[in-house]
Amino acid sequence: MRRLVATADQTTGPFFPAQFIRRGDSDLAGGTGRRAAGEAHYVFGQVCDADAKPAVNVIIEIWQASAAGRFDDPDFFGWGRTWTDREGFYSFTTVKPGPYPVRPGGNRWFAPRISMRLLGSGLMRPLLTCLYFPGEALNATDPQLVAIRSLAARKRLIAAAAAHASAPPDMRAVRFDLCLGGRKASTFLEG
Amino acid sequence: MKKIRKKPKKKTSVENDRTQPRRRIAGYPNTFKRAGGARFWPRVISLADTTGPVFAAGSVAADEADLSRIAPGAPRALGQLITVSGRVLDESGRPVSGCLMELWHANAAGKYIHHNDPSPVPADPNFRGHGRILTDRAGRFRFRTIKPGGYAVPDHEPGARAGWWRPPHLHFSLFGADFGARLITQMFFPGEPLNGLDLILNSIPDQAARDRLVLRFVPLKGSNSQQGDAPLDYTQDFVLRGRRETPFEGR
Repeated sequence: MRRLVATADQTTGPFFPAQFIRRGDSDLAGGTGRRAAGEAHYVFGQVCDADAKPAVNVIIEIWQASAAGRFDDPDFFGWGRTWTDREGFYSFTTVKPGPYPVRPGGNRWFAPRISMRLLGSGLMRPLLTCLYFPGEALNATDPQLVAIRSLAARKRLIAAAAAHASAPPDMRAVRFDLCLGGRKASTFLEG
Repeated sequence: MKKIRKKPKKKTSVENDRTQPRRRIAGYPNTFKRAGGARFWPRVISLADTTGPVFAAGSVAADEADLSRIAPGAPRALGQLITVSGRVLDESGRPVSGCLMELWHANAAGKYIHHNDPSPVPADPNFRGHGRILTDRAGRFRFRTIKPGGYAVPDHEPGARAGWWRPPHLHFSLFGADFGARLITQMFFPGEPLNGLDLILNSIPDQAARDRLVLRFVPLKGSNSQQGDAPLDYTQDFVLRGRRETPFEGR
């Protein structure tokens, strides 16, 4: 069968409507009105560009499993969206996703991870990356981390335990800074 | 004994796919600051890519597909009334139903409803500027809006192309069936002289791929059923990336 060619990407440009980013879109832990099961986390970071300047108005979309490691959990909507502020900062509140098997019923596991897609002015195509949690034993054997041969590049996918004044007191905070280009660029995955 | 070494096959990667835009565009400085690093790492496809958010049928109101007025019955925005319709398909040609599509664009004079648009071009209080729809069971959608104007891009930044104008265009965001199928793109209008000069449209090397970002004009039907304020119709289909290969088994 002849395959169709996928429609080409183009940048969002600088004018992505504020109305599309709704209240609750950055709160996966309780955005649906119910408190999600699992260990609540405040995930935040600063996004900078290749010149190390704060990258403002970058849209960040995330997708993750529930605490039970399910992508089809009826009690958890694992998608979120936010954008960076004037200092390039973003934040989400969510629960730490559970590990999930590489193949159903198999004994190899993906470590807890949050998939991220970055969009914005100047991004002709999205940038894809993945946030991993610090101190997870499964990080050592996670297939995505292991596929990244450079240890330095692999390490850049692991968030740091951090404190943040805006984080609710009952939540752990992890910091995941992103750099969109240049020599200090974050580890991005093929689109 | 001498070993014969086969020349390694050049990897075909999405990163050098000629049907996709270049990440860096001369004359558009922000692309050099935000294009990622020197290399991209292989992405291991997992359930995280082959699943995605499901937006409930009731989460989008019917009037959100009409950008030509801010509410049903409100006065219509200035400009040429148009409809934009088509289908959302996967790479096998199967319709993608329940696909959340987001649309936004400039008003008829070329001004966005956005705090980041500094241009002195007049705003239109009757223009909604953004809309959403969920595709039906056959993957179809139909938006009603006005044709946007082109606009001059600020070119004061070093490295910016002097005198660059954006052609009239529509911004689309599609969620598809899974996180890996997400598409953000722009659609252009046929016959616009600015199309051939646009840095963003022409960042796609392949001509046929560029042509698929140009709407087709639907021939007039002979009688103006909505006399006095009939829309002109445009159409184009979207093709989302299909599901990737089955999940990777460890090395």
